[in-house]
Amino acid sequence: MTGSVSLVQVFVVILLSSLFSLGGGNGTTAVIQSQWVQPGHLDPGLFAWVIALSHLTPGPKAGFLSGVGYYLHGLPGAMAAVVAIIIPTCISAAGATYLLGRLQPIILRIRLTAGFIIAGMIAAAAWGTAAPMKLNVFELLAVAGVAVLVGWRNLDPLFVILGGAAVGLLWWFLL
Amino acid sequence: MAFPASPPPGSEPKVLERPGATDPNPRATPASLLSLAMSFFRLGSTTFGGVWAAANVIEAELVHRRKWLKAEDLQVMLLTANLIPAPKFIGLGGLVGYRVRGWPGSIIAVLSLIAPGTILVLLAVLLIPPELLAGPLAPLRRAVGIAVVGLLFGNAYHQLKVPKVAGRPRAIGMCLAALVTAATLAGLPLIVAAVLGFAAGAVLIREGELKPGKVDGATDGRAS
Repeated sequence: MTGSVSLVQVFVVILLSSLFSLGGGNGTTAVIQSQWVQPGHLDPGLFAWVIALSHLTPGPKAGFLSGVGYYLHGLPGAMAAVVAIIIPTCISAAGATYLLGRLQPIILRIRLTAGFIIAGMIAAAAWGTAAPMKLNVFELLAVAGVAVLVGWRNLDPLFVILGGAAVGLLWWFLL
Repeated sequence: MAFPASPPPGSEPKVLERPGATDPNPRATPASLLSLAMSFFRLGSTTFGGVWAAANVIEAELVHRRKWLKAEDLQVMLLTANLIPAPKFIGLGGLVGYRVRGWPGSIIAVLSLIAPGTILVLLAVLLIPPELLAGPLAPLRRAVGIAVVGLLFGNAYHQLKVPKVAGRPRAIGMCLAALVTAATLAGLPLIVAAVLGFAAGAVLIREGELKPGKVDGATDGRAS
């Protein structure tokens, strides 16, 4: 835990980051990387760790936000993160139920672009997460291999994380 | 897109009520908040791989077991969950909860859906402290980190495939994606880069250039 991020900041950043989940993309990850990992408030390894945990646990991947909140501000941070993702979700759901027909043209207009913009955001987050790790050639090849398997071959992320964990445990055992 | 009209006689679900609903069923007994919580907690604790991977389980629970929705209602909500600014799976929870029991239902559904994963992640970070990850378990953390970086790049590519546009709009979209990445890496705040990208895309990419015969929004939910 760094303790350098206030509870209000945890709440506000995660609440605003949900706006970048439009179109089903995980812009939240990119915003967290930009706001906390890049400036050094959250260790890149811990960030990757909570993302990995969210793929190993059932239900929505948004569960990783509790881990992010915990590392930034302890259990209150975890609670703030969860509340911050629930509020915009419920407001959006209610708003969509009432206004979907009226807002549809605007939403569709933005949505056509959303995939591209969110792809750019996630790519920046991936780069920002990888840069501090100072990956060697073999590790870069491993990253490329995983990206190909996930992006082109639709490999289930659960297997990616389990595979990474298995390699890590083997590495640890051999050392 | 709008919610479907009133169901045909004899096929009404038990509950189709929400404030402002167009097709309430006055004979139906509203679902209790407890049953809503139990259903979404069950979904949150038994599904893996995102909302699209869990679509069958969700339908079995909400449509066939609870009979709160018709199958076509659920399909509309699955697509609508893509259109609201929230992670897809919990967005679906919010939509269904609101449809069934209004605001309390929405909050209970989202909270119950997210609770199992949240609790398990919290347990893991509590039981495995950062010192252990940085020390003896450093190889494990590094290998998992590499997997996550690959996963993020793969997800970025996957997102590029989602917009069903071709030709010039796709080329523009690819350029916008590259520009957002480059601008962010160059130091422009991510949110500013994204908002500028959305604005440029709204002007340059038009709905009329959609690929024919594709259903927009039907992703596999990996990134949700």
